[in-house]
Amino acid sequence: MRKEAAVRFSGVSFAYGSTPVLEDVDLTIGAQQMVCLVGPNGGGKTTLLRLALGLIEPRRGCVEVCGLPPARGRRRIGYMPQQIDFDAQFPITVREVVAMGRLNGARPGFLSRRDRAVVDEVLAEVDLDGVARAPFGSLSGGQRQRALIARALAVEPEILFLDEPTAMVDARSEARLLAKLRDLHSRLTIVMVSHDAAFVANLVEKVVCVNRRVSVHPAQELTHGMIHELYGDSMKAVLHDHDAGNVSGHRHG
Amino acid sequence: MAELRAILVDSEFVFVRYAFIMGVCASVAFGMVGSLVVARRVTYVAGAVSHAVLAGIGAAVFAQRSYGWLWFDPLFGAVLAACVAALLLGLARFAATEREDSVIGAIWSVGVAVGLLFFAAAPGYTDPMSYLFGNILLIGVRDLWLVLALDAVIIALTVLFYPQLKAVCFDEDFARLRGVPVRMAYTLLLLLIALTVVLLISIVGMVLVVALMTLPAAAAGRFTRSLWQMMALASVFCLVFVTGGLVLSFRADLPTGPTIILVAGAGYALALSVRSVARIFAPQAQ
Repeated sequence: MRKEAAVRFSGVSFAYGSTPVLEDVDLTIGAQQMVCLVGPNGGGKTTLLRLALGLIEPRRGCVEVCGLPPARGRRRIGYMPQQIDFDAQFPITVREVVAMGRLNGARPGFLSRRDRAVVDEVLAEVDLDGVARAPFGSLSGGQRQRALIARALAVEPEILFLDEPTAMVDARSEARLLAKLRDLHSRLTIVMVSHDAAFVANLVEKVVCVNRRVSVHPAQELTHGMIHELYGDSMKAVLHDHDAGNVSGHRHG
Repeated sequence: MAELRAILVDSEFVFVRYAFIMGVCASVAFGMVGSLVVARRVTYVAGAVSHAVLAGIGAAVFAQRSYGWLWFDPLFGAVLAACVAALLLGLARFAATEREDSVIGAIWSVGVAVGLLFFAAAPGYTDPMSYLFGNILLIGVRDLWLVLALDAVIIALTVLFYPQLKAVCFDEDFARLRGVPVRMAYTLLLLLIALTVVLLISIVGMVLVVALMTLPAAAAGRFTRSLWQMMALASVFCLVFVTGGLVLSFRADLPTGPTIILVAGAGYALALSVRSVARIFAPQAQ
């Protein structure tokens, strides 16, 4: 039986004011696929995620998450945003950040016993149980990244969105993250934004190039020169072979 | 301490007893909402609401004197104006295309101007000093009950919706993904700030509100690692600052509002110093 698409964009266009960011995007991400969005800054990668999360509305076209409008389907998504957006001085512990994943709408009150168990479990899963009571702002870049991944996992999602999971992460943390994502892939659909094409090439089969339009490619070795030609950017290791396979999309350029 | 105890049970100084009860009870609300204000960095919102309140107070004074609407207490006027200002700020954030800081500036100054015009138009002379700088010692038993009711509402709403308020303050987008009605939660935060401002005005007046809302929370933030800890410690600090200022002003025959603020300022400076010294002598990480 055909599995329902996890995320589907049909003829989607979006603009910030008069500046077009995405044009006529058709993209389907199947259930339990691991997909990476790559492309230059301002190309529309994060905008694609935000559209799927229902945080912004498309000017044209339709977005679906698990067959539902984003506002209804997004409860099934665990989202790790770029950590640069956070106030490091906000008085909040690592455990409290992760516990935000267990928020349930406007329901008043505090965490249930099950919520607490899930929070403990995901903290242990990302090896942060030792610093659970430390202030979030006191963590290193890599630890914060893992805390935000734990928060996304605390949702118990069907789909995981990771926006720049390797930014500010050292080589050791990157290797651990790689292993973690491989493990998660067995049970989740994973969509990530990354500039680190070497990291991506080792992890995903398909790469979605986003630069106002999208095109889908298998991830293989690619030279600097070819990437530079496509994006004018210093991406490292993705081969653009226009075999869309299970992931479908339009070529750009 | 013994002297304070003697004053509190002395029937001649019943106004001090009211002031003390109010200071103690309201400190919890100040600590809670002040912590949200400091954590979310919306001190300027509290400033705008506190000044807009003068419009409501002025309207109440005008209505009482011109039309004999004695039921329209200045405290009701203050609550009304504070809530309207909070709702306008919420509208500016979520619905208007106008810059939020421009709206804050407009509410801040227009509120004061409207209030002063109402005072000028009301028959007889109105001394705005007690509204501007507060006088906790003028609080009557009716005011006390009203203020305690406001206090209870603020504490109940903050405790009940603590997870949502914290989430909206820390990461609005993620809160939205988890189904939190972000606009409603942010508007609740603004209304809590508005009601707390009204409580504070009775104690320190509208000009000094921002200081008593933020200094205890900012001082508490130096020693705590989570929002609820900050709220608890800020409430304790607020209690110490208000009662300390009250005792000092009573003994030295000084105006209560400014004395409380000076005590709070000294407390904040002390907290900064203690933290800085502790940091200097803390073992260095290798």
